[in-house]
Amino acid sequence: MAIPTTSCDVQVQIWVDENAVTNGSTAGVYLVDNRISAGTTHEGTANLNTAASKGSNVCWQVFLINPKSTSQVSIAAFGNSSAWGFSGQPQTASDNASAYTGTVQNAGTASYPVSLNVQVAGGSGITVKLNPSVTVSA
Amino acid sequence: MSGQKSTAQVWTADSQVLAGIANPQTAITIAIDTAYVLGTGGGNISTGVYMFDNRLSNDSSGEGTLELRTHCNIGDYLGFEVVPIDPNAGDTVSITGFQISQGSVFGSDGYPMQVGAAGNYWVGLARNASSQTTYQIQVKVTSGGLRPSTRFIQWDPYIGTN
Repeated sequence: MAIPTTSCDVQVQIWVDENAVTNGSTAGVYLVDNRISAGTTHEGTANLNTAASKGSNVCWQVFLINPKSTSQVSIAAFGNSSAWGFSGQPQTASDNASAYTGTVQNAGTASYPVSLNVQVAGGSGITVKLNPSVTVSA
Repeated sequence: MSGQKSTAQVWTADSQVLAGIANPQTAITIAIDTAYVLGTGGGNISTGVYMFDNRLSNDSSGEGTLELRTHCNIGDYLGFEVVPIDPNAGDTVSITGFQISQGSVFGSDGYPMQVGAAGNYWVGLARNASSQTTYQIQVKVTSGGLRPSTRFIQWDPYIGTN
């Protein structure tokens, strides 16, 4: 069941430098969240490790660093991860088609695959594959 | 609004200038963990603020940190945008000023100014060559909720030109 973004205590933003992204690299992609107080590490990198409490809803959104850019960026898909448990797999949010929301249902540290589609203005599409992680406290 | 000139009215004579302000070549985004900032006393800050630009391929460094070193071209307009990471909290962020402690990339006529009414977007111009200009950016963070409180924070990143 899709979760609205407004029900998410944990917010992850993915920022993309469309001038720097290339296939097969995470250069130019930066993740941040609102959980530095809870112990998140690697803020501002592609390897963000978000600190969250078990049962928390998490929202992911992707943005271009240049707000005036005419390039397009979107989340393509989330892979499976033990963090999602039986019913927490991220899906398109119910209130925002460009956001994904999910639930961390298992304690521990787990990585999760997420891929982005970037279409630079006037260019072809680029797929960026990321593998950030969550550390879920019970 | 009568009696106030908008940016567009001031610079109607120069379409190139208008285009640069509307679409700065160098974009700097500042994402702020407002819950963290509001839990501090404000002033100089060392975490909870993350900066990025669209100039990694032009040798910017420090991406994702408070100590971003933006490497732009002389003549670039630079857009500075602040955004809260958590849109649900109702916290707001705005830029309240720039101070230059070393170097002179902006000079006088390139000095950053607010563009638009919201206060979260400012534009400057890299008027002068500068191997390193150190600037302090001041941001106002205001909490949402019953009794809004405000923190002014600042830190000092860098700009250099090709």
